Amino acid sequence: MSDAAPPARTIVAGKIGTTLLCFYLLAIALRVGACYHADARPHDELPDAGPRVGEAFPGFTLPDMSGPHITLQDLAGRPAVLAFVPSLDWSAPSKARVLDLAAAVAGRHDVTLAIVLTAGAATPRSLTFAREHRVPAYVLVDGDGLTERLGLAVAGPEAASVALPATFVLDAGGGVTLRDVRRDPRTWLDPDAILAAARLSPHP
Amino acid sequence: MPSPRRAYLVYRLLAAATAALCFLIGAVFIVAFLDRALFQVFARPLFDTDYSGYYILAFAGSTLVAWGGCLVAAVRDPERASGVGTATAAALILASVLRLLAWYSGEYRLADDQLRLEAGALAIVALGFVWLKPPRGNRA
Repeated sequence: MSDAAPPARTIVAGKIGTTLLCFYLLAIALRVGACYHADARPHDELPDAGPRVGEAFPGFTLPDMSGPHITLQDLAGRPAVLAFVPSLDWSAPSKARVLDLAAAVAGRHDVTLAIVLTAGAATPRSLTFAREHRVPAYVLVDGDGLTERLGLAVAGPEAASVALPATFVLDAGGGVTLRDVRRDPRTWLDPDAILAAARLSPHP
Repeated sequence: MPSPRRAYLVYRLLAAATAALCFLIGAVFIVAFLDRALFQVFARPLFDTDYSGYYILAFAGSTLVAWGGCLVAAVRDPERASGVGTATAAALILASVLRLLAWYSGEYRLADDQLRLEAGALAIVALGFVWLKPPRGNRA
């Protein structure tokens, strides 16, 4: 059997196609950071949702994914960051945001981080994500309607209610010192800006 | 355009470097599995995964070592083993795509820049294999 080479045109076409594919991958690698990212400026796209800066955060009692119920009073005594997250299951930007926050507070004892998911968003995969990544935070499941009362609930996939991506920084007394409420989870407030609002250095 | 001999020299160097990396990474994976399964020499596990993860690592490691061997054949006789270059380029492109998907998933946020850097580097190395490999059956 002869080992005939393919026609020269086919070889060149294959090389050109592969080259274009590689350049496309290079372009994606350079630009993919624009898909979702942190930004340093707080946004307030829903001024009527949630407490305003200076107001007290409404009290709540929500179960942590590990079992015990956490109240607003449990967060008192040091600055706290409450991050409302649409999902840790199907929302890749939300996962990245939570990991950013987790990295910022890891090893710190001067700030408390609480992630809030609606009951509809607290799927097994969401909870597995938090466990596998050992997120140093309370992961609170809101089955009590807190998200709805704050005006942060929107319809998600499969008719479940999910939270808008929002961040509230509370001082030691439970007063709101910063709020960041967005409609689009693809951008979020940079953790350094959050720590600055809590009057904490980015480097413990 | 470099002369055929010079092109093959660069191709050989590229294949040799890739083979060395395959051997090195494959060996690390295999050693990690052996340590986890049998010897427990290291004070801490090399990878943060369970026993099934180590099993998959062992499989991946042996595959990498085998592929390194194929690349050695490409170094020794680039003309006869030009298919190895094509397959390596395909594997590198697939690896690049997987890294970009890993970045996009959000699960690997802490390796953000590393994933993008690796994806770009793998695409460039794939280009090298595509353009530097000799045509099939073309003896210098």
